Amino acid sequence: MSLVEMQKVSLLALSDFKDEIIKILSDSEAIHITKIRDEAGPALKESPGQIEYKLSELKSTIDFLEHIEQRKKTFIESFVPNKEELTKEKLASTAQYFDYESPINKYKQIENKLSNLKNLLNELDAEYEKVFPWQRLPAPLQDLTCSLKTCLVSGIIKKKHFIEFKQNLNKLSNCVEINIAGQNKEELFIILIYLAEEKKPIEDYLVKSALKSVELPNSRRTAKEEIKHILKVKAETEAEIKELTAEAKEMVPELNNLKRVYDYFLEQKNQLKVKEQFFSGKHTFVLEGWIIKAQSLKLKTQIEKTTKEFEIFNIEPSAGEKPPVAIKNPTLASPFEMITKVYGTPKNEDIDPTLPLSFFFALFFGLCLGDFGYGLSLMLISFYFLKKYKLPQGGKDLFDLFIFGSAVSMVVGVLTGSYFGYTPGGILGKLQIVNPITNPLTMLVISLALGVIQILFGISLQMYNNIRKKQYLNAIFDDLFWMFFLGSLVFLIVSSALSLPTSKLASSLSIAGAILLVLTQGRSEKNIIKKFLGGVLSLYKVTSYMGDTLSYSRLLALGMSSAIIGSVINILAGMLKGSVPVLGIILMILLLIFGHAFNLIISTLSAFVHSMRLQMVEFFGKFYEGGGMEFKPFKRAAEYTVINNLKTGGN
Amino acid sequence: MDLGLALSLAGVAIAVFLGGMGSAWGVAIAGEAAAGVLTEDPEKFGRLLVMIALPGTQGFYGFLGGFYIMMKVGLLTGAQTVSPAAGLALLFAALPVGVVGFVSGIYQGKASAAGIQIIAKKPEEMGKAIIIPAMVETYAVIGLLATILIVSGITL
Repeated sequence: MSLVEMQKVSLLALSDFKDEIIKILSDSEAIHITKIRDEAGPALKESPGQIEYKLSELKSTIDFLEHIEQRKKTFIESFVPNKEELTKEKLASTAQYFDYESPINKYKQIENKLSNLKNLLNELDAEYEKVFPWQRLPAPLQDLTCSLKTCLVSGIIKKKHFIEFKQNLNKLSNCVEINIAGQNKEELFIILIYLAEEKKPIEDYLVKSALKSVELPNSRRTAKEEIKHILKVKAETEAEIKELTAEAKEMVPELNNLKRVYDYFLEQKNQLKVKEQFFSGKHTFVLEGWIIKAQSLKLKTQIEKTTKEFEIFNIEPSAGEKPPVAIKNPTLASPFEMITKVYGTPKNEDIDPTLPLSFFFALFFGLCLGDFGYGLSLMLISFYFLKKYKLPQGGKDLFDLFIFGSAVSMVVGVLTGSYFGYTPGGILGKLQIVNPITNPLTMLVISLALGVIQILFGISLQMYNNIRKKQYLNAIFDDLFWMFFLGSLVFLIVSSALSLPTSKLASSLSIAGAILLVLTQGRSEKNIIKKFLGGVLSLYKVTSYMGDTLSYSRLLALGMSSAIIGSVINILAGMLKGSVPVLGIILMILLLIFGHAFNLIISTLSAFVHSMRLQMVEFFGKFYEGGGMEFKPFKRAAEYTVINNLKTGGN
Repeated sequence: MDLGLALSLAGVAIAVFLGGMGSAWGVAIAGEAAAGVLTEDPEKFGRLLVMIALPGTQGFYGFLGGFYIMMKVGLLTGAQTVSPAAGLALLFAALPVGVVGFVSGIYQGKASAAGIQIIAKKPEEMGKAIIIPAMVETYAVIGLLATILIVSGITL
C-alpha cells in the first residue's frame, strides 16, 4: 500500500539517435517526460502541421466509410471498441506500402458529389411543395404574369379571411377577377387578375391584406407537368446517390488499412510533439523526466541495444517540483486501484488507500447484492467477459471487482438464505443464520457495526499517516483520543442496549474520553477560554461520526431490496404457473429469466455505486485526500489498433 | 374487508405511486439530457444508459416498501385482521419511502443530467459522474430503511 519510488532523470544523447530513442521510450512506457524549462535550443524544424492535416483527412475518410458500412455495433462495443491486434512491423509496412492517398481522394470526390446531390434533393423538395397546390391551373406557369393591360398576382390566403378580402377588393374595383386554383384544409390558392391602370390602389391594399403572394417558377410547363418533371429529376438524383453509395461501399474493405495508417501517423505526431519538451542542440539533445526507480536500469539496457553514446543522470527535482505518483499493489488488490483513481491519485505524502479499501469494498458489494444466485450469475458473466473480450485495463478491473464482490455475495446469500430470492429449507436452510426480511434489526446492527469498524480503521490510518509525518501530537490528540472516545461510546451503547453490568464502566470511560477531547481539541487557540470553548465545540463532531455510521445502514436496505425483488418475481411467477395450462409454464419461465436478469442488473449497479460511495465519502473522509499528479509515462498513441509485440522485455 | 386493511393498502398505494412518480420524472430528466448528447455522439449510448437508470431506483424502493406492507398484512398469503389503528400506522409508515422517493427521484434526475454533461465532455471521468447522483439516492435509501423498520415494529 505504498507509493512507488520515483527518480528524476535527465537523458543526454546524440541527435542522430533522437528518433530511435523516442521509439524505445514509447515502447517501454517507463518515463514521465517533463518540459525543460529554460528554452534556449533552436526551434523545431519539423512542424506537426502536415501530419495533423493528413490525420484529419484520414479521420474524415474513416468516419465516412464507417457510416457507409452501416455495421451494427453491439451494445458491448459501445463500452469496448473493437481494436485490431497486429505487430509493429505490420503496422509500419502498411503505412509505408498502402496507397492511402487514393481512397482519400476518391472519398473527397464522392463526398463532394454526394453533398451536391443532397442539396439538389432539398431544392427539389422545396420546389415540389411550392408547385403542388397549383396543379389545377391549365396554363404554363410562365404565362402567369402581367400583360400590357392586366396585372396578375398569385397567392395564398386563409379561408376565414377570404370573404372579407373579396369584399374589400370589389369595393376598390369592379374589374377584378379572383380564380381559386386549389385549396387545402385551411388555405385557398388564388390567382388575382386586375387592370394595370388600377394597379396602385389595389397593390396598396394587397400589401395590407391577409394575402401571402407566391412567386411561381418561371417554367414553360404547367404546374402538373412541372410536378411530374420534379419527380423525375428527384428519382434520377436518388438513383445517382445510390450509385455513389455503392461506389463508396466498394471502398469499405480499405477501412482496415486506413485505420492502421491513421494510427501510424498518430504515433508520429505523438513522437514529434514530445520533442517539444526536449532541449535540442545541434549535435545532442537532452530530455528530463521521472522514472520508476526500479525500472531505470532496464531502460538503460534497452537503449544500449541501439546506441552506446548516451547517458542517463539522476538529477535533483527543481524547487517545489513534486514527482508524479504511481501506485503498486499486490495482484489481488490491484483491480481496486480503479476506485482510488476515480477519486484521485494519492499525493506524494499520502498513503495509498487501495489495499485498505479493497477488503471493505468487496464485503459491502457482497452485502448489497446479498444473494447466492445473483452472486453466482455475476461471477459467471464476469469470467465470460474476461475470457471472451479483449478489455482495456479499466474493463478488466471492473470485472475483477465483480468477481470478488460476487464471491462475497454468494457467502452472504447462503448465510441469509437467499437463492434467487428463494429461501429453501433442508440442509441449505440450516446454513441460514439470519433472515433479514423477518428480522431486519439484526442485519441493521451488523451493517452499523461494519460502519463503526471501517470508520475506526480510517481514523487509525490517519494516525499512521500523522506518525509517518512525525506529527505526534496530532496522532495522539486528534486520532487516538477520538478513537478512544468513539470506542467507549460504542461500548456504552452496546452495554446499555443489552443491559450488561459494564454500562457503568462504559459511561465513565466515555466521560473520560470527552474530557480528554475538551482539553486537547482547542489547542491551536491562544486564549485559554477559546481553548476551552474550542474543545467543547469539537465534541459536536460526534454527530458527523454518527451520520457516517448511519450511512452504512444502506447495506441492509440494498441487500433487502435485491432479495425482496427477487422473491416478488418468484411469487409472480408462481401465480402465472397455475393461471393457464402449458402457456402458464412458458410465461413463468420467461418471467423468471427476464425478471431475475433485470434485478441482477439493477442490484449490481446500486451495489457498485453505493459501496464505492461508502469508500469515498465515509472512509476516505477520515484519512485520504487524493489530488496528486498521476504518473503518465510517454507511450504509444493509438485509436484503432493494438500492438501485440510491444512487450519485448518491457515492464 | 375491514378499515384497518383498507388503510394499510392506502399506504401500499402511496409508497408505490409516489416512488414511481419520482423515478419516472427523474429518469425523464436524465433521458432528455442524454438524448441531447446522443444526437452528437450516438456511441455513448451504453454509458449514458447507466446514468439514465440511476434515478430509477426510487420506484423500486417505493414498490419494495409497499410490498413489505403487503407481506405484513398477509395480503398475498391470506389476509390477517388489521386493527384500524395499526392500519393507520402502516399508512404513515409508507410516507418516508414514498415522499422522499418522490422528491429525491426528481432531484437525482437533475444530478444525473449534470453527470451526463461530464460524460459528454470527458467520458473517462464516468466514475465521478456516477458518484454525484448517487449522493442524492442516499436519502431515498434512508427513507426505505425507515419504512421497513417502522413496518417491522408495528403490531397488527
